[in-house]
Amino acid sequence: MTIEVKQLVRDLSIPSPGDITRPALAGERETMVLNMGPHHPSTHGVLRLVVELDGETVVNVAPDIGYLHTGIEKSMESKTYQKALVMTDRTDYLAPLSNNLSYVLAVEQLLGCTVPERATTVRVLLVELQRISSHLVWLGTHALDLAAMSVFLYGFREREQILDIFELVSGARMMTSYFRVGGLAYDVPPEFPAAVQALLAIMPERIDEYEALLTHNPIWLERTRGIGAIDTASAIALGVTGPALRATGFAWDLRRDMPYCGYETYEFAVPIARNGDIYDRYLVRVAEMRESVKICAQALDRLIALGPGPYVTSDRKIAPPPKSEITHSMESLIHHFKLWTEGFKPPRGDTLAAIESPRGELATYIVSDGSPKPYRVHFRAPSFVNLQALPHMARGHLVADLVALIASMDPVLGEVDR
Amino acid sequence: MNRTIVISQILVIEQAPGWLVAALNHAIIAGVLLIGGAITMMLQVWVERRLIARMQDRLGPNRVGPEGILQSIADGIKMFTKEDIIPRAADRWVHLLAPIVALAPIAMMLAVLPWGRGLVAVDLEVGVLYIAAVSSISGVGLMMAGWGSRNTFALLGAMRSIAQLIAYEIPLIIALLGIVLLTGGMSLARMPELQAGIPLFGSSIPGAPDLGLGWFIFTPVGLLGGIIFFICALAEGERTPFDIPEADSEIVAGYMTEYSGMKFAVFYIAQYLLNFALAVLSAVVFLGGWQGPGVAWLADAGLGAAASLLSLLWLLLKAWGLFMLMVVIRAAVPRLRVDQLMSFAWKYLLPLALVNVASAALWVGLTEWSSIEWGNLLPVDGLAPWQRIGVAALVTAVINLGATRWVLRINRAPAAAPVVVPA
Amino acid sequence: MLDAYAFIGVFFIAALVFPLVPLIAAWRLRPQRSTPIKRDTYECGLEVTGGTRVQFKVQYYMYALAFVIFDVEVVFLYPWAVAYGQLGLFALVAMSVFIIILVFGLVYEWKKGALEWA
Repeated sequence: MTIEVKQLVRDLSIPSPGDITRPALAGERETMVLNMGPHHPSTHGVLRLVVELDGETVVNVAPDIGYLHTGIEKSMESKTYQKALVMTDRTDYLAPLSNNLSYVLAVEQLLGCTVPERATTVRVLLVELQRISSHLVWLGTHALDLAAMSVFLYGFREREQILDIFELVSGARMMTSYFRVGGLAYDVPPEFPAAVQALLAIMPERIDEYEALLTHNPIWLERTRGIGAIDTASAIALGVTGPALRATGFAWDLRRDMPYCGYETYEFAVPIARNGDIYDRYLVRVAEMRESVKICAQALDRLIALGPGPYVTSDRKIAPPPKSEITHSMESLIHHFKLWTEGFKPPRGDTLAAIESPRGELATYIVSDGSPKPYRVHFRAPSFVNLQALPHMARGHLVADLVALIASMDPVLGEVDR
Repeated sequence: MNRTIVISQILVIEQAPGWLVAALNHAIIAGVLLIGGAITMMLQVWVERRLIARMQDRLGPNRVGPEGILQSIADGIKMFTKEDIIPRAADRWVHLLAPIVALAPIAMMLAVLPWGRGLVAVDLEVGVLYIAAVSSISGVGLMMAGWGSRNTFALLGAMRSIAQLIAYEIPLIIALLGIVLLTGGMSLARMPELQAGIPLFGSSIPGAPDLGLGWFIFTPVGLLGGIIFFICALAEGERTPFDIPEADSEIVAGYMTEYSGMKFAVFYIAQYLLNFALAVLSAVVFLGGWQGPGVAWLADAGLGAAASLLSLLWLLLKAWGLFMLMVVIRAAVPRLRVDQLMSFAWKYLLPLALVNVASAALWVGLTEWSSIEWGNLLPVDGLAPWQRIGVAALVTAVINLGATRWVLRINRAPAAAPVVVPA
Repeated sequence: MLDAYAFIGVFFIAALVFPLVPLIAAWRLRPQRSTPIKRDTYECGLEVTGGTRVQFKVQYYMYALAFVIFDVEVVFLYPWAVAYGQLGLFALVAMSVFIIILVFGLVYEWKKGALEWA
């Protein structure tokens, strides 16, 4: 490690709560310690921040996580691969389909199974819709934290429509578990294209509407520009990914740079900004929503062009046979029975599947010991990694900025603590 | 003493001593004003919730009573039944007294406001000073709440609210000073009377009809003063974008964090009452108060009572209009940060308010003084009053516009527009 | 005149009674089941760390000082404003001098950074 990198790592080190709560030493300036969270309106869940304040200026911040630890990764070890899928919905609860996708891709890599194009197209379409809905929650809560309360309700209006589409395809609005190893749980219903088209038709002007309220609003600019800025080098050193990294001017998007699900065949731009402050993260995410709308439109066109077809792999060792076969095919019944009692057994080995979730790089790492249950599952959760940049960004700003800063990093505590 | 004796004293009013009659009289008026204030506050909450809901594509309270108008009463009943919690660490008495200290001074503001033609509870010679003095006492209540609660959030909220109140009080009073210069008196009751006639020229043109539109807001001095005053009123009333002392996303509920039940409700009442009183005050000082088309006509026709009623309606219309403007602003804009809030008061509003006072002084000199008072420097004697007003309007408009541009320029931050470039 | 202040006096008592009535009524009506947990200080669901009686930042007091100066100025300005109409050019010049001195004070504070929040 070179000296510069060592210095950088030292500068970027994350304080622990104990560093802050210790009493002031003789001759030291007396500061106030403020606990923000776990029960606080704007820590987006149960994040606890121990904040050291001089008046209203943040001297130091120590994130204290773990209040939402649910043992998801550990629980997955005692479930078969199919059943463990359900757990992934619960990590980043604002983007369950992205988590599904990452997990499903990893398992498919382990199995070496192929997925029909119809399923891949639907996956891309839904994941991009998920990105829009997740960004809408971010936009709404971010604006609400700065008291622009109307944006919140406008954003949730459109999110509602997206959740309706999820309900249409999977029966569930949030915890969909719709992507399955080898394809989808069921085919999309006939109403699906019309519902998506209706949403895509209104979305661009709705995004204009949010922007009309914020992008050029002088108070919004005052509150977000130049606050919590981070440069590309520090962002990379801290492992920051996603919109927060792209806002620093570094165009890194797994959809373009390490494509999966055939993203390389879609046309979309990777929006970046320059300063890496809160405002730039805002611009990047809003631009991303527009790009997602474009991807959705392309995916929908492809889906219509593809026509009806298989939505799940025909490998009966991985995906269950259709119900209609079970009643008259002995073999199908056995497959069905084996799958639901024992599950499938991927070969020994480990794999990593990374996708660009709305929050950044979401990777699922699975170790298989050849049994029907994963030996170890680990998520490289973007919320968790991005959160460690928070103290670095917050020092020297005011409490009010801290709130905007948390919102702009868009952490989901379910994913942080897992 | 039992109940019958008190009633008999009211009924047989001639036999009671004079001071008692006067005191009862006063008490009844005070009671009417305060009960009116309480009802207004409930209506305000309902209007705010419904209006903001409409702007945000939702319904708002619509179940209790027709269109949900009784929602505030339901909320009030709930408040009565809520348990009162005093934190162990709190300074008990300071904590308990804070809501009273916060509300009582604001209620006292209602005493001197002129509600209509002839509808003035008391015409104080120093009405403007009284308002400024009384309204600022309420800040002590907020500080007591924050300090007495012994809670970090409450303390931060209290510090913020005091900093905000004192910062915006100065431009607020100086904005009022411009109008005091124009009217030559601090009586609030006389202010609407001086805003009769037609826009800008008031009653200075002989033969022009009295439309009741000679509002100060139509003069350059009144316009700038009115804008400054309204912004300060938003800050004093802790409305978005200045609701920093109770910024829920930052410091939970500010100085109210440890308050529950009725004590919390009293703070709430204080806030809405303050908003309404400031809206009425803006209307009285800058928007002609109870003046409006038709009032003078009715009074001239000998229908005094009808004129008073119409004038009351005009005042309430203006005050509610201003309150609704506050609500619309709340739905539309984000919140400022505490340092931006302070610099806005000291660097934008205060210089502008001072320039406005200079403009007002010039206005009075140009419209009212003879050449002798000008030390024979300005030969203004030959001009008709309306011509002099025209000249004064031109001069003050140029000064105020120039000052506004200048203040905006010296405060402009170096702008760096970040652009999204698709890579 | 005196009657006006008598009214203010009566109004003051009424204004004190105004918040007291609901407070006392609520005191009689509400349940009183206090527990030690309920009476804890709110600190986002945690034990309180650090006190609230700490040195507070001096910036608040800088603003307070500036406030006192300008508030006193306003007290001088009001009587002047009331009598201004009859006083003539001398009043204008005299008060201009007074205000200009104060404006210099404001400019000085501004340049010294006393109006900055940092």
